[in-house]
Amino acid sequence: MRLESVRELKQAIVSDPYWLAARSDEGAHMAIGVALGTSPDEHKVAVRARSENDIDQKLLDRIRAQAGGEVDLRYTGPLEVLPVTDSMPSRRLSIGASAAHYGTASGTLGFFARRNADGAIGIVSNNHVLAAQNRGLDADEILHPAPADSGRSPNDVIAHLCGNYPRLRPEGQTVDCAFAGLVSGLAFDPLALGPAETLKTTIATAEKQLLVEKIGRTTGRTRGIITTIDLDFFDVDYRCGRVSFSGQIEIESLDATAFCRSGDSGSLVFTRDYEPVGLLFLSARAGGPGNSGRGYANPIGEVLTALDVSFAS
Amino acid sequence: MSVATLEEARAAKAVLRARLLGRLPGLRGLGIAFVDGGYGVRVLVDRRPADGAIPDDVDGVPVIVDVVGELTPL
Repeated sequence: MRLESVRELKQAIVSDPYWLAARSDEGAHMAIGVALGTSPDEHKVAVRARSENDIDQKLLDRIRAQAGGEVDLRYTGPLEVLPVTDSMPSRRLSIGASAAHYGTASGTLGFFARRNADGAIGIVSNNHVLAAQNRGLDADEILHPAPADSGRSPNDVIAHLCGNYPRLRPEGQTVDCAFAGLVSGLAFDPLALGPAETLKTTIATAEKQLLVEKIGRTTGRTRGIITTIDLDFFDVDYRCGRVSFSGQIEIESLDATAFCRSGDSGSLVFTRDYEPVGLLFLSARAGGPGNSGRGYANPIGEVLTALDVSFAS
Repeated sequence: MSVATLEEARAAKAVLRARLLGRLPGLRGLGIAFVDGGYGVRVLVDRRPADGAIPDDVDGVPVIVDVVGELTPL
């Protein structure tokens, strides 16, 4: 039967007083619709019931007669409403996504990590991204996208800050990092860097001039080269005060395009072989090819140790 | 000037740190640079230093000076 013919027939059946009477009878629990065939004109009248006991035989015979036998009868078994799940962002989280503490404008999700103490899964970025430069408290909300990208509570909460993050202190600092536990049920790709590109969980040590890349919230995926290691900084100005760092990594762009810009904080720096090497946290506005500036990263081994986490896989 | 090893560059960096820290206005950082297949010391400053304020080498390890301007958390 043609689709329109079946639809017209269905309308006639449900308007038939016999159908209405049978529907009001507690013994009949039948549904009617259009059954699709394998060709354009192969439609039938669909009749569904939970079991044979739910069929009104006279009504079924009447429908068969009206449809010239073109009836598709099936028993469905018990029907139940699907359980409602908590509303969650439907997008899959991945490395390089926009994410930040609710009190911070913007930042980047560096990588997914598993806390060694209890196996909790979370995300790692900078202290000044996830913990608002030492102001963050345990269980503070982390948003994706970040507030500057219109992320708002409660719909965009993806994680909660772990309160024992390394504080930024005036001296002896090696990392600017924090960990936040992911909200359960969130979809994420722990090691995906792009189509058919997977981050390795073995880390690279920057003792030679490595070619590297990063994926950041502001500048996306960029390429660079490590030009300096063991870099000790004196007096980096944060809102929480001046901080001195030791043992840092410097990265220059390979061309006049900036390796990083504001909002790329917390980006994971990885080698061309996809081995993690650093966590981006700082930039210099001058220097580099075309005076495009430079980026600076914490050695990734220091970050993993400070947070007592491993790469999630 | 011969190519320096990583250990030689680290020793030179320690010497330069003792020499410059607290004495060179605008000193922002000291690190190990990759230079011609070997290593050197990189000095980060926020303004160009006076002539002679920073040596060209320390015990034969090359010293590279870079004006980086303002350093800001991203």
